[in-house]
Amino acid sequence: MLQVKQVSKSYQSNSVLTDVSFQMKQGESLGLIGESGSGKSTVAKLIVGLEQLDEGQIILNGIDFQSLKGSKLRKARRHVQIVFQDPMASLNPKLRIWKSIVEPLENYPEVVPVFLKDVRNDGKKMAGILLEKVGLPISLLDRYPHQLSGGQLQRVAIARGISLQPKLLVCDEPTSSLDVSIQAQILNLLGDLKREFGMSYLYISHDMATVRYMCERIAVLKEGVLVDSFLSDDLFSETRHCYTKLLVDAALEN
Amino acid sequence: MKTAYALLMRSSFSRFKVKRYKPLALIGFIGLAVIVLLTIIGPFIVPNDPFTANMAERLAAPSLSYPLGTDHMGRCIFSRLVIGSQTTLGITAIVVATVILIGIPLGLLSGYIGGRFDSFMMRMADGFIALPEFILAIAIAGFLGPSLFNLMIAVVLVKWISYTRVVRSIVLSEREKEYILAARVGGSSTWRIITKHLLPQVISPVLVLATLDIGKVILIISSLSYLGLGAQPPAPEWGAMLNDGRPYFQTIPELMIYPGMAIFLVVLSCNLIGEGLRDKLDVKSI
Repeated sequence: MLQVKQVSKSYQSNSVLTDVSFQMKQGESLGLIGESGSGKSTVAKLIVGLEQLDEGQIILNGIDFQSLKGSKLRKARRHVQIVFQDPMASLNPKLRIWKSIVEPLENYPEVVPVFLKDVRNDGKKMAGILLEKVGLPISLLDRYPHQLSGGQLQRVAIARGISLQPKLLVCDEPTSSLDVSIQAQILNLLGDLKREFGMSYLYISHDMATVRYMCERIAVLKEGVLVDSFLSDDLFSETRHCYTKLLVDAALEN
Repeated sequence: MKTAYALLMRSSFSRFKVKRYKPLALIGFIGLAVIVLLTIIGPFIVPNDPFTANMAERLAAPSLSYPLGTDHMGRCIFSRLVIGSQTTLGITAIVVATVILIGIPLGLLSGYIGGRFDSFMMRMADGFIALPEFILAIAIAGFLGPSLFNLMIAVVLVKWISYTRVVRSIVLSEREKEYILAARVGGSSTWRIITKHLLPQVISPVLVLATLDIGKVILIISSLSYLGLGAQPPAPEWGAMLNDGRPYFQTIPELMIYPGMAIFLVVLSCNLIGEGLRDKLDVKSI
């Protein structure tokens, strides 16, 4: 479904990604791990189209993003959505919750997700259904972001992320700014949604345990280079790259 | 335990008082409200025609028929003050509104689109900012010729920059925040992001900037009129009235004190309101 081919990216003279390639199948989730500054978030931004790549190709469903422009690009983009790390910053503080949730649906009036088809013209009802999907009460619809907790806000961000029924949801460290108990809830929610919608996740994190829990496959980034890629079950295999082993050991020590 | 509770209550109560109750802003608001009210009902309450010269009564002391006396042409000072506020406040309102309407869109575009448009706007702003705004206003108004309309153009030209820059700086810090990125990923057009997401973020800072600026605009307008570049005689305008009273400064200082006080009160009221708004809306950048 998603093919990332020999992608390179640099800011000014700093090379951030070098020759990164990986593939994802429909319904399969890939975990991307690496330390801070390894280029994980840049991969996320490139895939959702927030940054332009310097070299290489990103192909989603057989469509090369770089070859498209204008409305066609817009149409292709809706299959990839994103959930960010900081839930407080990812919602406009001046907008009510429900307006943030339905914004993508307003931008793509032609998209009619199955679970919304009876209420497609009623923004608030759509937002209500989406809120229930992420396990929040409808009473939050008219609130502002500052009236919600971090975990609730992250659920709202996820509701916005799934509103267009994307094929791929990029999660850029979605739990790392939350309490441990809330982290578990969010992970469970993501697991449930994956089963319900058959979405793939590109799950970016520096936490080995959550990635292993969430994803079938894991890729390891080190200083912009993809050093290792394997099935989650093979994490402890002897054939792992030495850097992966280092990360595993560090995680086990904690 | 009890004392601690009492202390806590008292401290939170006093904080409540300091934070919510803004006597100075209230005074400013009442002051401006009275002046605006006088401006609106002015034509119906003035005792004399502000344009009628009466040489027999020139430089008269305050009396029942002339509450604040008369000027060097025998015109009623009180009537001229009240009618003159229409000019001063009206022009200020037009100038500030125009400046906001120019500054916000340019700042939004400059900050969000960036690139060459941004560089062009900012180099232009640097050019305007290189000179003190008052000197620049004198130069522009002098170049265009003395009239109220040209005065307005001059003030708008020197004032739009600060609004554009404030809006641009807010946009620059907001555009990289995740909610803007999420909106872009969610398919929002540039127009939608600017109008729906960025515009609401800049409104309260601009509002504060504008209220604090009203005083300065009034000062510039009055100063230019004082220099003869704005309102032309016999039009009553506070700055021009100051100029009219100047030759009599040593003998009858009231001729300058009255319009001076009027300017002072409006500027003071606006600044008090502006500072109150700034605290209330929690705007830190201005």
